[in-house]
Amino acid sequence: MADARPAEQFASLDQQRDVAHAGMWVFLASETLFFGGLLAAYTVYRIWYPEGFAAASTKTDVVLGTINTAVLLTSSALMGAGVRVAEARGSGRAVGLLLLGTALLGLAFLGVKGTEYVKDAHDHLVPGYDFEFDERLRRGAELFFLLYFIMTGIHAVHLTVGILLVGAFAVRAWRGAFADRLEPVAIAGLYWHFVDLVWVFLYPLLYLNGRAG
Amino acid sequence: MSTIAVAPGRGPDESAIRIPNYLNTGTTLRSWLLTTDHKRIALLYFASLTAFFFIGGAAAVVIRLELATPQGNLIGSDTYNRLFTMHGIVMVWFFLVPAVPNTICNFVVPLMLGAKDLAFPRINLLSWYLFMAGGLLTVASLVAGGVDTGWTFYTPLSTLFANSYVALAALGVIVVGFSSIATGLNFIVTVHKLRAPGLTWYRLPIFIWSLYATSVILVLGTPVLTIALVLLLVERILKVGIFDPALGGDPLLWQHIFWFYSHPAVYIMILPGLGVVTELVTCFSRKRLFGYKFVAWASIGIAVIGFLVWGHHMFVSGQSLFASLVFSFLSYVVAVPSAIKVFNWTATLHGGWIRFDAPMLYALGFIGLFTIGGMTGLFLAALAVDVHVTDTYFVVAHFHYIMVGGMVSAFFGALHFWWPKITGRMYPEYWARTAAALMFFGFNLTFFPQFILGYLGMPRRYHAYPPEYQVWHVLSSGGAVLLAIAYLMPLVYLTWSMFRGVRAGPNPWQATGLEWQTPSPPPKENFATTPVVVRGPYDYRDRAAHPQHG
Amino acid sequence: MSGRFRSVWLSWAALVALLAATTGLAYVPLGRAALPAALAVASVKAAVIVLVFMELARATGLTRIAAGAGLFWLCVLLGMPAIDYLNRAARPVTERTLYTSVSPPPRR
Repeated sequence: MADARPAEQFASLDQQRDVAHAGMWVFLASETLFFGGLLAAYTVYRIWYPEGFAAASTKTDVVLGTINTAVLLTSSALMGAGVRVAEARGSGRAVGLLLLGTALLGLAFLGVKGTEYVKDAHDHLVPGYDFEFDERLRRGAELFFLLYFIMTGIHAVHLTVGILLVGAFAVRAWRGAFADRLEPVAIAGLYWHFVDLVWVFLYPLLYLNGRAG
Repeated sequence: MSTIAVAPGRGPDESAIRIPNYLNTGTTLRSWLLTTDHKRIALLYFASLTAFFFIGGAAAVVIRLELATPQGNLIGSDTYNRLFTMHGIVMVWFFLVPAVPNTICNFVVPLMLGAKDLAFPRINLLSWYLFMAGGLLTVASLVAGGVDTGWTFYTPLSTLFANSYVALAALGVIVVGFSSIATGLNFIVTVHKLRAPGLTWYRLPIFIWSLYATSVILVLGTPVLTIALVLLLVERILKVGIFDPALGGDPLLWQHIFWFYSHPAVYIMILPGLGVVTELVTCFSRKRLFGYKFVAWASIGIAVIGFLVWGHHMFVSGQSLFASLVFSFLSYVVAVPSAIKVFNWTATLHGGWIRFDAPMLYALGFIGLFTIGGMTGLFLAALAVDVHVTDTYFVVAHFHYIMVGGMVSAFFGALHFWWPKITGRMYPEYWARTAAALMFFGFNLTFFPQFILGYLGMPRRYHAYPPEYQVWHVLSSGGAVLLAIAYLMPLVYLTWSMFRGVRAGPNPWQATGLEWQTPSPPPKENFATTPVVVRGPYDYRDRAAHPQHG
Repeated sequence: MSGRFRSVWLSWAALVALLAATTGLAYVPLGRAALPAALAVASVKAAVIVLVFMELARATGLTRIAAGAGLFWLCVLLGMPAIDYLNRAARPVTERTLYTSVSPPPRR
């Protein structure tokens, strides 16, 4: 793995690193639009059903949601620190530990999210399966919960990919695989931060709407 | 350097000297299916796209046969619905969108940039496998019994009522979308990062600018289609209401997010064609491009503004009038950069030393057909006129002028132009010119009557119609026969020329551009040494004015 | 090197503080200003993540184009449909009409 020659289409390792970095950013721009489709649906139906959305939003578990947000923000900080250790050619074990912490916090997030899903099901909040709500607000609320499950579900899928990626990199970093080829860590980091970024917007839209009244 | 590698041969039998090129380095099936060479992947795409083109074309043949008589006597309405849907889905996602980017561009872009390959060769191969997987899913839905919603999958028909294989086809389109995104991403990064030394942005061929604009749309538009189809599948399979008005949803939301991709997708289909025509017009009139920077930025302008006009598909759908006004205005605006291109090609032709080789015939045909298609687009962008012609054959004729008259002409022009580079052989000029002329006449005979039909009020997507429309439908069906012959001809003579064509030198057209400075067919690594660029594109003035075949 | 770590931990502290702020703000009756306030805080958080963690502040060229294009096209995707929905004369079924309707909405 400690191979210091660029792939054949590149003139230098610098160019190769640059290209990988650029590729991930273009991919993330694409991902932004992917989540953007869901946000557009949310925008439109929130315009139509402000009361239903507000009422439904208060049924989500704000405590667990807030804890989860903090967990994800912390994981991003660990990831950022891991990337910086790697960039400074620090110890591979330090990078490995930081990445392991990142992945474990990601797992914790998924655990909390799963608990929430169970609770939602128990509260009859799953559209198409078991949904009960005040009839006057039912339509907006049902659309809200549909989007809630799709948005958090797709976010969870992305996070799972991130956990597998970062977990694998943690092991490889611990074994010293990135000693002189560090860009994969930074690129995995970009993806992880993006998944965090999505959640930063999902949190107020799904958990905080309608809390004041 | 590379110019001494291949001396222009004179006959088909001069293959005694086996110069290593990308075709003869490794000939096993494995060396093709696991290749990361952009040139071989381009050929894989060529083969698959040809197959899809004829699947889609076969559906069109049955459609035109049925429409030769007013009575629906060949096939029933249900079969007819499935045929035009399959024609649309296959032609849009499995031919037009990938037509130039994944075949021609895949082949020539690294060559034009002086690069050894695309930035992500393995992702390039992956995109072909995704394309084939999506294609198989879609063909499976066809074999299973087809889809009857039209290629636009409008809700709630597609989610609640259609009892055909919507989910399978939608899944196929999702998968082929991933292939599109991978392709676009690869090109964007390649154009930014892998240009040869000295190849600055304003020294790039316009073809690269057009492809860059196309890639931007592929990367930023396709994910929205993906999520739209995911929502459609959720509603259809889990029986929940996202677009279902009975459950509080809005069917128009589908149209908004679908057309957010699908209108820009029209520009995915046409922008590479605009790039091809720029290359052909300059080369065959031996002139510099008139107004290079305008043409270059017009491509980017089309890509950006093209994302702001999708609501003109929804003028009669119940969209708010204010939104319709905004979308109508922006639809006029997007015509400006397209018009800039047409004017600049015309100005380039002016005073040029024009040669009517087959690629140039396709290019000139393109300019005429694209102009007619574009102008009728303005009729449709006008709110009041659109109400009259919505969902009539006028619309059908309009977008076929752009996509078939425009894009397919450009595809064949590009194919002929770069054929010597791809295969190392010339195509037979006489047959190629005949096919180009036949394609132009066949196309106009097929689709011009449809403008009249639409103006007279014939709605699209019906398999039977009142007898007074028959004369126009018969003309159209007759033209379709000519068009089919014109499409089959290249299949025959190009295949023949692969084995028997006159050997082409590195630069049979005496064209500028880095791709012509390496042997035909190029070696696996494209260039013996990385070229250094010292002058701008289309530097035809200082060159010998007599292009000759190698 | 320690300076670069400091930026990570400072950003983390800022993000957690912003999280507390936005959660608190949600319980303040701001009326119609609640959503803009929440989105403003989220945007600041996003800026911290993008500029510091994803190092956009140090990036050049294509990276900035990709980030800018993603943001611009997202605005188009959210904004243009909003132009339509905010100006619709008629809605198929709204909450207002539902309040007055006698029969419950159809269920499947």
